[in-house]
Amino acid sequence: MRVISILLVDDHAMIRKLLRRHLELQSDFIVVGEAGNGREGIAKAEDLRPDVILMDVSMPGMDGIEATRIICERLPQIKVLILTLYASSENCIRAMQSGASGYVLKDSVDEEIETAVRAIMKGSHYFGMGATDAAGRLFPAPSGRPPCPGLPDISEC
Amino acid sequence: MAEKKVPQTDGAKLRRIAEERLRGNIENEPRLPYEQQRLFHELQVHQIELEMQNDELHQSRADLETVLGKYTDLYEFASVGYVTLDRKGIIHTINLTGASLLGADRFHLNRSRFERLVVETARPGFAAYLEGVFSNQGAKTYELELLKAGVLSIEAVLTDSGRECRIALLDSSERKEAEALRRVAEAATGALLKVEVAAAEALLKIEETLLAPQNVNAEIKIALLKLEKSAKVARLKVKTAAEVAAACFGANETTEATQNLAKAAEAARLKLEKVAEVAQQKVLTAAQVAFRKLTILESERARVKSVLLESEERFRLLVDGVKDYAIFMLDVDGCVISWNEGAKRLKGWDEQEILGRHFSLFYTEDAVAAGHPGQELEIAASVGRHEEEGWRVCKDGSRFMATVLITPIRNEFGSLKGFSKITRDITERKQAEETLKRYAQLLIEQEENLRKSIARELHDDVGQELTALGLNLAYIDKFLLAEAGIDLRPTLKDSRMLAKDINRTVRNLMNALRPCQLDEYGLAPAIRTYVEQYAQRTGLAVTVHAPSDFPRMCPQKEIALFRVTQEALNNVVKHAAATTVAIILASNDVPSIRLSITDDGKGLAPWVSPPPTGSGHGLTTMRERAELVGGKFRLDTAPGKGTSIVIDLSAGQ
Repeated sequence: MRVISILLVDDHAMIRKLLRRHLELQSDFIVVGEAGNGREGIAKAEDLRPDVILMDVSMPGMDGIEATRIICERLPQIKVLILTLYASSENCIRAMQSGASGYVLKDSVDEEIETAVRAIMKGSHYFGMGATDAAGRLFPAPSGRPPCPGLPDISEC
Repeated sequence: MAEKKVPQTDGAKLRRIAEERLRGNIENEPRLPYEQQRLFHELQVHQIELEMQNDELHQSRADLETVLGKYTDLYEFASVGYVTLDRKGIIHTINLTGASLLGADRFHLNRSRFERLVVETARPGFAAYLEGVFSNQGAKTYELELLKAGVLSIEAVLTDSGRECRIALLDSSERKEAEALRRVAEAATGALLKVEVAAAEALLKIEETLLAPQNVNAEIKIALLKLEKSAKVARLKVKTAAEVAAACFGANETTEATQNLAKAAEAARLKLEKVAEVAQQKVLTAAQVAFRKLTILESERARVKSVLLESEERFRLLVDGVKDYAIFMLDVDGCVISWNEGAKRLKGWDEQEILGRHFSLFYTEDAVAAGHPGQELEIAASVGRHEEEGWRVCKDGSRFMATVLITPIRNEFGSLKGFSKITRDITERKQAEETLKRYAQLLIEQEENLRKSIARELHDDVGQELTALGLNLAYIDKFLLAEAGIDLRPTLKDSRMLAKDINRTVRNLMNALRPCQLDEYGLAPAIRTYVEQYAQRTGLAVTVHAPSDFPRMCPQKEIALFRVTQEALNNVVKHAAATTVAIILASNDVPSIRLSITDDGKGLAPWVSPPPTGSGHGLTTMRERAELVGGKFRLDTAPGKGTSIVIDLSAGQ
């Protein structure tokens, strides 16, 4: 069984703590590190080279979208799953444009996180409940990474 | 007479007739010796011849007397007067016609000097003429003016004796008739002239009196037109009559024709005089009517003038009494021609020093350089008024913000006479408005900041805590399920669902308070996000068109446009009964941007546009929101035609 290494990037320590506890209930998941903002997340990603990064969007300093873009550019093998409170196509699209592989709303994280992590590890895109309506219209069928090339211009949506 | 003399000269025939008559008496002859018998016979023949000649002589005399009577009548009653003068001009004989022509009886004329009958000025000429006649220079016609007879044509011939001359006096009735006709013609021409002069004078007078002022009422104009028509008709009639008369004079050839022509001329003259009289009467009547109306009009004018003077006085008192407004008048060139107390107070110029000066004095140098004062007058003159707000300059050079109303003044005929200008110092009001605007903007910013703060707290605290709560509940669900027993499972499940619901509510609340996209990504993404939720909530088909390079603006402008969009979309769902909405964001190189929100709903009634305060459609709020950030708000709507809200805004800071 291959263990999936996970980096948590969220400015809320409590969330990181509970997510860690929640993820590590899965025997094949291991949280290899935590970061409180985007910049720190990039550094930890370069340092730890996790399989998956669970990335919050709204963070002080560098936000999750920008951090995702940089990470995906520098470390394309790392898959980034966005965790956010914002359920909008706009956020979802920007996240996907930055190179993220999935998009999960935080209010569904307890139910969807394991599925999402496993899905993106298989190379699929994952859009959680509440984000699927909009993002699903843009990416109707999962395709292989990277998601960035060929994405439609958001201005036309 | 010549035939009667034949028997006298024909002695043989006379003797033969005498002897035949004697032969009838021969039986009574006494028997005498032959010589005595022959002598007696000869005596008897001579007696008979003498008797016969005596009878013939009587007959001849009777015939001669008859002829003489006829010739005398011919002489006396000839159509030409005859008078015989000697070298001294003494009248020796004159026929009745001549006496009649000379206007005296023949008894007094005989042996009198013909010269006394001639007008004094013509006497030397007549004397020369007479002398010429006696010098045997032949007969010639001479026009002589006599005291009683007027001008006569005379023709003198010298008698055989050379001691007298015979003068024929030609009483030319043709001449008289021609003269009469000439007089008629003159009368006709005079009458024509008189009528024309009278008509022209009447018209001129009436035109001068009535037509000069443009306000002659319609009735007078109609009267005048009638008058002109009457005069024209009269002139035409007179002309026709004169032409008839002229034709008659031209055809004057014979006496009978002359008489007819004279009659025709007289008739023409009478007709002409009548026409002239009628025309004059018409002119007079029309003029009287016109003058009566003019009098009434003038009386009314005087009354109106009086009322106007009173009104003017009241108006002057009113204008002078106004202290908060500068009220003054300009002539057509823009020079000040009146000045009130308010103007003095506002601008600092005394009436005496400002009258006659150009009103561009009140404008800033830039405005004068740009020709703004003249443009204002042009606009006012062309569209009927011009109103604006702008800086104005006082006498001391200080400036004030003014609201200005310029109105053209025209006379009763529409000619531009000048302008009235009302200026009010609105500096304080403007400052108050600016302050109010600043406060309003501040209030909005504070509100937005508060919203942002609450949204942030919701996101950073409540949202995260709810997320944590969800994770905790999931954890409990996983590990405490066996010990908690079956009774706790539904409650735990409800709690997890509740946490999700609260999280969703918080998320919506966050978006409603302040969409995070607005700050993070700008107006277009924020609108798209909002529209997405709006479409889900309302079921309306909303499209958003925005270029990929749509510029970012300052937060105040972005939030203002976002709020306007929110308000417009709320209106659509509340009032428009629309099925589709199109939101277009466009930008250009200026850079300026345009936001339009257009629906296909039922539109607004005209009284809602422009938006009244409190119309219930939030239009005023939208307008204010746009204007606070320097935008121009426009509403295009009509019942059944949908509604379009357009805002143009500079994209700069």
